[in-house]
Amino acid sequence: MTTNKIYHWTIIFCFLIPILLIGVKLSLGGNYVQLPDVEFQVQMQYGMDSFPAEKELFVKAYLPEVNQHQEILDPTAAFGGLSFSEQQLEQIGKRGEWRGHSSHPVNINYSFHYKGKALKYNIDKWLPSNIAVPEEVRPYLKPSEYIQSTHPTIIAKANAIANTQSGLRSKVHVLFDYVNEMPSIKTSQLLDAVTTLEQNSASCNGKSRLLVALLRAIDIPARVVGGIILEDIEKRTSHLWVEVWLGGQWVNFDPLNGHFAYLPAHYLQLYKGDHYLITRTSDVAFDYQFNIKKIDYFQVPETAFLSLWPLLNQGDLSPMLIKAILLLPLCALLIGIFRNVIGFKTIGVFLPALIAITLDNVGVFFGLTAFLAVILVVAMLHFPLERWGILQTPKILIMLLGVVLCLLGMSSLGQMLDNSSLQSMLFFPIIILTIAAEKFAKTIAEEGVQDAIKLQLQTVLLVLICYGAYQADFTISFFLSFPEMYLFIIGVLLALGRWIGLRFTELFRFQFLAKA
Amino acid sequence: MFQLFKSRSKYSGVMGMNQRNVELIYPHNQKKYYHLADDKILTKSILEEHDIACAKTYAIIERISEIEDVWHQVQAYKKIAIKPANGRGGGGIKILKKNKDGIWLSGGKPLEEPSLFKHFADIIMGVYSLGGADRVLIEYCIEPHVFFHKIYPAGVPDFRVILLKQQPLLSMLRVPTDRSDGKANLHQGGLGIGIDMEKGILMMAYDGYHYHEVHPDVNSQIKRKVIPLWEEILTLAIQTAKAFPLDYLGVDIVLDQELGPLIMEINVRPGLGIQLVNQIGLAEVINQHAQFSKILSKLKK
Repeated sequence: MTTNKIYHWTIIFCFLIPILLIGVKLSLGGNYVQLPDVEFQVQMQYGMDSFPAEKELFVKAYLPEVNQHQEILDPTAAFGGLSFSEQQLEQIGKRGEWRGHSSHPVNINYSFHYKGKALKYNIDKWLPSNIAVPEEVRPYLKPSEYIQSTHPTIIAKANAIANTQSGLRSKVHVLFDYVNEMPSIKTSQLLDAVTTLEQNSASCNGKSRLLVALLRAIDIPARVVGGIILEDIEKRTSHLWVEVWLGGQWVNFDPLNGHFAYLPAHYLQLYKGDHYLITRTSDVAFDYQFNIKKIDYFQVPETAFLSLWPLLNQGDLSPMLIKAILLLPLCALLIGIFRNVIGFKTIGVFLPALIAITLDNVGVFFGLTAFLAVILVVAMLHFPLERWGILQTPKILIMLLGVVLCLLGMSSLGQMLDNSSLQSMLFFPIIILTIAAEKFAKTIAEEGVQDAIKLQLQTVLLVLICYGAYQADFTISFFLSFPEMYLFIIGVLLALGRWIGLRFTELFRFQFLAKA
Repeated sequence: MFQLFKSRSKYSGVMGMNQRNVELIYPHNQKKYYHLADDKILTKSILEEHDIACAKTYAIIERISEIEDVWHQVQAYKKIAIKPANGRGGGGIKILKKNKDGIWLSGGKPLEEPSLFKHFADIIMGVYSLGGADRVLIEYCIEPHVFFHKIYPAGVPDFRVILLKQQPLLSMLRVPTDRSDGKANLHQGGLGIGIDMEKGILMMAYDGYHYHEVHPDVNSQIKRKVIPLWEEILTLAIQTAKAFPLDYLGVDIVLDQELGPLIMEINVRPGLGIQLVNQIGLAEVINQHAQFSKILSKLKK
């Protein structure tokens, strides 16, 4: 066979084998693509300053409970030298109480593993509005301090909006829409229902109280729910949303984020009713924070055939590493297409993929800023070194040290400021950053600042594209179930390797040569 | 998407990077011979073996210890060019001339030996050649042909001829501009001038954005000017292509006032901008050549 024939058959083989294998696997049914379940490791952390020993300190905070929406695994409380007890409060939730004496600062926390399931409610369109309300739900028709459902303006507003509708579902819908469409503002200030209505703007707590008040005003039982929206972040904001008694069950609504009869999987429920998440000894310096880490979690299919799923069962492999290696070939494909078909010029072939992986761990905005800053700072080292006539090897090693120092510096600063994004700067691939900085400096020296910036911009754009591919959650399970797709990618790259068409950028470069 | 494919057909005959690499460079130039083109000293030794005109080598410095001896040897000359053998993008090149009192001048200023020796040492230590150690090449200093004075008074213009299997395909003249700081490379702001290879006359000048009939800085006439010694220039390019085991080549030729055409350097990856300069696609030229040789072989039969 000629070289050409072997080449063509290799490509056909690379395309055919995956198609056949995927066909077989799909018909067997054991291999499938799934979205990762949402799981979080949550730590609710409270800290207090020292306190005269004769006085008693206390912190009370609501703790999550297991229900049809959420699973709470391995809950552990750190006592910080205080005593700890749990109480069950009827209709509200579970509350933890730390109590005791301490002459030094106290650090306490409560941590657990969270698995959530989104709840979507179907509400019957024909649900009559005059259903009998059971005894235990009646209290949720009465006004409270901040939910003034008997206030004339609330009653007037509720009637004006809801009277246009007849069914229970439509009444709830118009009231929900009204509050949802009200302008949102970011504030941690406590807002009651009447104030919210009057100023016509609010954050989650004002909007939720207003919706509850409006509903109660037309005799629909409703209450606020307190919790935390879980994301891969450290935060201090808690969240308030609404439950409405509809058709014999409590149905969740979030008038701030527009969730109608829907509870997203990452909403951690802590307590029901208009209460404070935390109560504590008042005259002592107090701080709190929720440390949340997102964990992708897959249900490993038991009958998967020729798959990479067993990798996930090896506990000593970090999920981060598995994800990076699984998705690197996908990024390679993107890089191949963007360089040879679109005509992107980037710093280094692999750099965009490796930086994208780093951004996944560090955070996109912060990571990109740090990436550009390090490149710029270290690239500037090139110029004095070049002027002094330093040889290449020592020069690049000095630049390497520059990168190491930058990253260590940022990481230490992060330690001091207690900023986890800064701390994680050490995830950056040091060698790659060094080479990128040198290449950037050389481009400035040889082709000018404008070309160097253009090169940098195209690099960043490709980094973002790789990052996007990296975020598509289903891709991980896709390659775990169908690793033969890597062969397919090799086939595409082989074909690309002898593709002689003009790159898109060349269409512009050679526009004077285009025939009319 | 369809529109894109449609617009692509308008570009038939234009050669892009992918096609150049796959169809011209990879099949015609073996990697193991690249160094013959990349190392100026090696290039010149092959040219000299084949009696192909190039700037005469006066001396080569390989070690720092040789600097002083070699410097004494070249005192006999009035004008010299100093280059790193493996330099890139014109870095490290110095032109030295003696004034009438016999004092060396560099860029119009009297030369200081210590700084010159440091420059030699820098070249040898690889400052201009991406790391590895390098050698200093001291050679004949070109005096551009008077023909060029009328186009643009400064710098050294050069011809670029692209050959495939020893057949010239396209050529251009590269002339410095005010913007290019004495350099003639297209991407450094130089002016590329298309050449009618049969008639040996200059065509339109391209500055990267527009086409001109005159030099945009000094308004000197360019279009339709007859190139002196054009046949010799082409012959020299073909001889050069025959001397190297590289079948796709860009040959750079200068025109010296006294010595006529001289090879400056050869390039295994000549750029594609020459298509814009000549306003024709390289693939189209190759196609025309193929058809022409078909007709020729039929006539012979």
